[in-house]
Amino acid sequence: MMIVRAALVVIALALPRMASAQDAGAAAPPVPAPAQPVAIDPPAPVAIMPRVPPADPVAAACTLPPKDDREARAKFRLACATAIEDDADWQADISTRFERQEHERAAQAIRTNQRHVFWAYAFIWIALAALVGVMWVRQQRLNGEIARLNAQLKAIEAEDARRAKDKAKDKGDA
Amino acid sequence: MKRALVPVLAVVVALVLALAVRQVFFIAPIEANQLYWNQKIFYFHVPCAFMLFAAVFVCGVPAALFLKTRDPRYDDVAAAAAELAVVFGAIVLGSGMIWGKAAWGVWWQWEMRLTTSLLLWLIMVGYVLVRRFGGAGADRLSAGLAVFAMVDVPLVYFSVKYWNFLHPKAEVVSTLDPSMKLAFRLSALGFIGLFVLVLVTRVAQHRGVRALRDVRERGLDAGILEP
Repeated sequence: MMIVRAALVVIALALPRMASAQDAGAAAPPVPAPAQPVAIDPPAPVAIMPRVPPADPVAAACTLPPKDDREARAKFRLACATAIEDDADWQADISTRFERQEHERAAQAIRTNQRHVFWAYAFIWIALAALVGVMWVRQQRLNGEIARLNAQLKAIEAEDARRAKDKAKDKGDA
Repeated sequence: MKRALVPVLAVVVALVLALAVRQVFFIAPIEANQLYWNQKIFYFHVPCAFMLFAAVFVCGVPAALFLKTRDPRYDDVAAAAAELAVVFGAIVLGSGMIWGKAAWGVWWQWEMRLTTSLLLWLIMVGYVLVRRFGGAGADRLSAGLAVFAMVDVPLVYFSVKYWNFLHPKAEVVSTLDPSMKLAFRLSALGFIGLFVLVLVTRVAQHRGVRALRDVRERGLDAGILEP
């Protein structure tokens, strides 16, 4: 706010001089004006612009204060925000610029995005591996069941053979 | 001969799928209009959707025959195909959701193609659950569900044609670049082989389980086997 105010003071002082110079120029060829002592107020303290001397008021008003000067930065932002709020065209311009940037950022993200391809293929392969795994487990269970049944049948056969042998032995004894 | 066929088919399927992956990631160009890398999900997502439809029909037709004839061999085929439908349905929905997040910015949209696909998958999950926990008569009940699921397949397929919201139309396949087409055909071939391989194996397992159960029951009835 301070900068804007300072800039406005400088511009207000400079404008009448520029206008009178233009008027004079229109009437006659420009003649260097004699140096006149002009009574002006002492310049406002420019605490927020330590880097750039305020030669050009616009440049001075637009110069971003250094990062470490937080207070000056806050004032600068506030001044900018106030000025933007007052200017609908400027608002629209900034809004369009940021929207375009956002679109470009999103497009770039889509162009370079490989993450979802990786996850999709990982999901597909994991699901297929799980299917094969489940089938393998079922086959093992089936093999175990067959082996158990075979063992039972073998035991029955052995039992039958033993009984037949005993029967034959009994017959022989008799 | 039949036993040797399964390992040979497994090797062929593995080779074709490896070739498909190579074609998809190293040869087919990146789609440069809209989807870029995300378009590569298409090569596996669409064949899996075809396999889902195939599995539902391979489940539904034998299920209808089972209801008519009560021949358990049809039931074995239907049960094996239903499991495949659940797996391929999960793959289609999962990969589709990831693709949707990448392309549309959302995981899910209640639009026709997605909703009817989810419905189809839920019916097939219902089939498997009824078979697993339904008790006596579950085979007939689940067969009815499988016939009902078949009705949903044309609904899923034509949903993008008649209710066009977000999902791309089926005609996109015919507009592909030749190298993209080759990648798509290779992966489709690989998934058809995988489908046949898993189906044959699962049918054999179902028949094995059924035969074993019959043998055990007869052994128990005759007092030969111990429980």
